[in-house]
Order: sequence, then C-alpha cells, then structure tokens
Amino acid sequence: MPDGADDGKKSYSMGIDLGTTYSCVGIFKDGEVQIIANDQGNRTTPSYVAWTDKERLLGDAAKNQVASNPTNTVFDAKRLIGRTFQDPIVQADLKLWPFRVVSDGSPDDKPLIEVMYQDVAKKFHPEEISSMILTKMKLTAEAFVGQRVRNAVITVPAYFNDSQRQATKDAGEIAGLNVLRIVNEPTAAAIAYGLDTKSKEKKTKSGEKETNILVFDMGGGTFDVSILTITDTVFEVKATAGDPHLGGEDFDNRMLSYCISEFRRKHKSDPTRNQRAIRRLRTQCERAKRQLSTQTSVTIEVDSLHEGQDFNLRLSRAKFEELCMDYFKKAMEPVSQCLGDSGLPKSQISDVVLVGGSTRIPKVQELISSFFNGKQLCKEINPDEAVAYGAAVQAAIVSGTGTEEVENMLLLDVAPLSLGIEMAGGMMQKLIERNSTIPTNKSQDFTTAEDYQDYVEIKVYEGERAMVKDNNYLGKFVLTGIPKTLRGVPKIKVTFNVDSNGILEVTAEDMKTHRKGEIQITNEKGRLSQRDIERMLQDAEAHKEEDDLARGEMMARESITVYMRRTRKALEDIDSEKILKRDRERLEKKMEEVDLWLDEHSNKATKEEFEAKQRELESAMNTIMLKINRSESDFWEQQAILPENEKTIEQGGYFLDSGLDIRDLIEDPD
Amino acid sequence: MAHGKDPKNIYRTLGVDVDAGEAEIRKAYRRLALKYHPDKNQSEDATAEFQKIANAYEVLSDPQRRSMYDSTGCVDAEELDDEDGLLRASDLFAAFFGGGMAQ
Repeated sequence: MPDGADDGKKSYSMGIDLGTTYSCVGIFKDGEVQIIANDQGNRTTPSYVAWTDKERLLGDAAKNQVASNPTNTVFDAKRLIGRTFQDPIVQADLKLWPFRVVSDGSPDDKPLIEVMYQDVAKKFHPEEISSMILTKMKLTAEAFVGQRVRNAVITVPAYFNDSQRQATKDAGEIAGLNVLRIVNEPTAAAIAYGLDTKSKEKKTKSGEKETNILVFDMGGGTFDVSILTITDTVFEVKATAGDPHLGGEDFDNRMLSYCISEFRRKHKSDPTRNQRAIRRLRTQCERAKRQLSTQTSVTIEVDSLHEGQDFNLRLSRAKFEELCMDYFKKAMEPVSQCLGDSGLPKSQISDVVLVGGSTRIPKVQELISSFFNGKQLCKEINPDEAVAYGAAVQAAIVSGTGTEEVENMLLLDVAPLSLGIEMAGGMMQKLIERNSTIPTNKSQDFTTAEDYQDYVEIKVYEGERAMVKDNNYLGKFVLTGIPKTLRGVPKIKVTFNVDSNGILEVTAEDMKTHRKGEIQITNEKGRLSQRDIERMLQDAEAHKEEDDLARGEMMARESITVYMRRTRKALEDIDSEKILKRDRERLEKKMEEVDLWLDEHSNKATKEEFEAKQRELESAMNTIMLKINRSESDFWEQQAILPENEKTIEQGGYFLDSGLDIRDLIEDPD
Repeated sequence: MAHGKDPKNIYRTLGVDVDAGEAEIRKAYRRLALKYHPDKNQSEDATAEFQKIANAYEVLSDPQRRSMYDSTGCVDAEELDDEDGLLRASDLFAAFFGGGMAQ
C-alpha cells in the first residue's frame, strides 16, 4: 500500500468538481472511485451559500431557503471568479442576481458580493464564496473516510483563462486545502470514460490501441469541448475550445424572461422587482427545463406569484427549443473549431462523450449527432458525476494513492489560449500557442532601448486575435534592477512558463550577470495577493468556529427534540399497568414544560442550555424508569435509544431529522 | 540513423528514425512522456526533459512543420524568417520599446 500518512493511516486525496450550479466530490478508496453523498444523501451539492440571522448555510440547506432569503443567498460565484466588476459578462449577470455585487473600488476593480449577516453588511470575494463550497465538499469527503482530507484536485472548465484558474486555486487555499492540481473538466470526464470503456474491453484488449474521442461538456454555467487521443494508459488532449459562459442557467434565464413577459401580458403587472417572485419562478423554470428533456410539454405553476395573481403556463418542448435555439447553435462553433485544431477529420472521432446536465436536452443531442452525420452518442457515463470521478482518479495519480492500474496512467493536457506580449502597433506576439501541451515554457530575449535604462516593461495578453486590444489583458511585468549600461548591451531572458495547472508564471534573468535576484517582476495581474489570501484563510477559520458553535447548538436542539419524541412514543406504547398514573402525569407535565421552553428559546438558547434542559427531562424519566421492572426497563432503553426506522451509526444512520450529519462533529484525528 | 538530416536532433530526442511513420512517432512520444512527465518522474530535470520531448513531438506530429524541418532544419516559421534575413517579430517588439535585440 502506498505510504501516504505518517501515523500509519492511509491518507486520502479527493477530486472536487466545483460547478457553477452544483458541485460533486469523489475519492479513490479501496481500489475504486467513490462519489460521495452529502449529509442530505445527495451525490451533488448545490454551489450555494446563504446567511440567515443566526448562521451560515451551505449547499442544500442554502438552496432550500432561497425563496425566503433571496438577497442573502449567494450562487454563481463561478461566473464571477477571476473577472473584473466592469467585465460586460458580470454587468449582464448581476441584473439577474438577487444578491448585491459591488466593485472593491481598487484599480483592480474586483467584484465583491455583499450580504447582510446579523445586521452587518459583509463583503466577500468570489474566491471566498467558492472556498466555502469547497469546505462543504471537504466535510462531505471527511465524513465518508472518517479522517481529515486536505489534498485535493479541483476541476475548472478547460476554457477558463489564467485569472480564473489562479482564482480557483486561491479559493482552494482559502478553504485550507492543499491543491494538488487544477484539472480541466472535459479531461477529467475523459478519464471516467476511459476507465469505463477499459473495464468493459478487458477481455478483448490487444496491444496499444488508439481511440480519438470528443468530450462535449455543457453544465450549468460553462461549456467545453475537448478532443483526446486515448491509449491504454495515456490520455492526450489534442485540442480544446469552449465558451466559459454558456450553460443551463442561460436557458433558465430565457424561460424566465418568457414567463415574465407572459405574466405581464396576462395580468398587466410586472413582477421583475419582486425578488421572491422571480426566485420562485426561476426555480419552476429550472424544473420545467429538466422535465422537458423527457416530456414534450409541461405546466409551469406558481401560486400567488405577484400581487396575489397565480402564474400558470403550458410550455411545449418545441417552444423551449425555440427560446434557446441561438444558444444551442452557438455551442456547435467550438465543436467545429476544436475539430479543426485537432487536425482530425470527423470520421476519426470514434466516440462523442456527453458530460454535464445540459447534455440531457434532446435538441442539444440532436445537433451534435447531426454534426457528426447522425452518429450515436456516448451516454454511458454519468453526466453529473464523471468530472468528479476523473478528478478523484487524477488525485490518486498525482498523490500516488491509487491502484497500480491508476498510477500507470498519465494525463497530457493543453493550454487553452495563446499567451503573448504586446509589440509595435498593438500587435500580439504569441510566445505560447494555444493547445500546447503543458507544462510548457518559451523564452524571449530583451534588451534596453536607451543608454543607462534600468527597467523594461512588458504587457502580457492571452487570446487568439491579432491585436492585443481584442485579447484579454493579463498584466504588466516590469523588469527592474537592470545594470545601467549602454543600450542594447543588457540581455534579459524572459521565460513564459505554463505549469501543469495551466497557470502562467513569468521569470526573468539577466544573461550577462546571471543575477536573477536583481530583477524584480512586478505582477500586476488583478489577483488576490498572498496577504489577501492569508487574511481570508483566517476569516474562514474564524467562520469555522462560528459554524461549529452554530452546529453545536443545532446538535443540542436536535438531540432534545429527538429525546422528546422518543419519550412521547414510549409513553404511548407502554402498557398502562406498568406505569403509575401519577408518574405518567408527572412526566407528561414535564414534557409540556420543555415544549413550551423550546417554543420560546429554540432560536436563542445556547448548546449548554439545551443540554441542561435535556438532563432535566432525563432525570424525570430515570426516576420513573427505576420503578419499572427490569424487563420493562430494557423496553424503555430500546425505545429511548433506538426506535424503529432509525438506524445505528454502524448501519449508516448518520443523519438526524434536520439532515444534520452527526459525523460532522467527529473531531479531526490531528 | 541519418544524423545529417536531423540538425537539431529532434528525431533523436524521440528516439526515432528520420523516416519514422506518424504512428511510430506518437508511440515513441507516449513512451517517453510516461517516463519523463513530472507527474511520473520526481527528478529535478524531469520537467525540462519532458518539455524537450514535447517540443520535438510538436514539430514532428505536424506534417507541415515536419517537412519544413526536414528540408530547412528550422522548427518554425519565425526561425525560417530569421535565417532568410527577414525582420524578426521580436525586433518589432524591441522597436516598440525603442530598442534592439541583443543576440
């Protein structure tokens, strides 16, 4: 067994698919990948964070209360991450979000999400919101393996740019994770496909067979296409293309706009400013969209949507397709581009693999299939879990915690966008071409233009257009400390290095003096500084204490509620002859009292107060139990400890009625 | 192996003959990638070695660039321009900052 931990216990590394709308976590354990269900028993977790008066909620708990708390329920952080506030995409999105987004007012123009928590406005970077979701996924994994898990592979859309990758990595650090690798989502899905196919073909395996596949990955918010060549152990990405802002939510928005216009037309009133109405309608649109993948028509119904008016609309699949057709067609462009970049003809693609919830839409499938001349599409792998599955495999590969089969695998991924510098006339000179296999590096020599010049400024861009103004500006690198001498004499070698995460690093060296230290690179990319990250990490730790406190209270409240219910049930079930009428009345009175106390204090009592109350009830109960004969006390014990339909921990009954997972309270081993 | 036809030793980097077929080149690349990719090789030089292999493969897996290399010994258009005495793109960059390239 590979040695991963110092205490003799095997350490685990997880794979996290951090999605726009849903996230998923997997772990390689006992020779296979396990996709882990959260405390609600769901294998995917909404990428939602919410603040109520009392506590912070994550995942399902946050999404479930969204209609009643729309302005303090945050989602879509992935659509903000690595972007500036003025980014046209951000400006368009924020019109649709019920929560507030503001600029940080700095020259970097970073977006901040503002929520009210305990009457104080709090602002968060998108990285912090993502870190909270990552924390939730981490807790899910830890509950499953019963120990702390710090190592993680996190996935990003293949078409995510440098800033978005870096910001995602920062989010991992803020969550206290050791980010082993940032992996591209379609590449991770290809691993899931590859392993699945391999296990089926084991018997017929002969020699080194090459298969070219196209992964079509359309999720809630992003869209990627990748073409890979797969052999026995090597997954080589040939080309990737995509749209970092296209997915299911865009379809929901289209349906929502349509529904709003229908409501306006029918009722002559506009619900647009009614946040709660919009949220309720959006939820129904999302549901209707899903149903339209299997049904040809649905009814969208919301009672008393706005100003007492109900909403009721019959929507056909054809109408839905009409509303979204331009998006569907837009998705075919990257397919075509990716194919062209790969240098492979359509006929050489042996499988088209569908990943992401939006690939369930029949029209999307139809368009891809007809693009490939009526080809049968591969729907073998789970579109919601494939990315996390592959990420878990990659985590095992990188950390050496997998089986021999897995550890022999190798992923060769590519940089999705060309990287270059600005030159004369605003032209872009590419140093690294898109679809270059990573890690990669390219160097360029620079010198000075003036006598005694001691610095050079370089502007870095990413993108495919000829002019830098049409590409994405990454930052300015200023090389300072160049020894003062005549122009043209210094020789400074600037190296662009794209690491295995697809993240760019720039280094420079004075080739005459070989003094690297003398040259300072000022990185002005609008990313978080190390100090920002450390501060956020501390905030997150502090929040964790707050959460633990809240969790402690919830647990105690839960505990007393459960105890009350069990006692009540036991009182009903017990033979009336076995218990004195007086005792029964005394106990019932006590319970009534506790009930009243709970009504009044349940929202403000501390953990200790709940526990004290429970002890009062227990002692009243114990006094009575003593009076009942031994066999009956066994009965009582059974009733009190393990009523029917609730399992012991050993049987997997980890969840209390509130959905709280008792394993959340299990202390970290370290 | 005809080394005269491999001035930059890129065929040799992949350990294939100058008349190797496409499939053979791909196979050689994968074999070496498994050996030198930094995920598989903990040694300090692994990344540089892998990049050398990847760069060789980049040229040899592209029919146009391979034939350019075979006939001129240059691995990309920029290098070819340079040898023909044309203005190098990097000179343009330097010109933008008002300087010249130190070569």
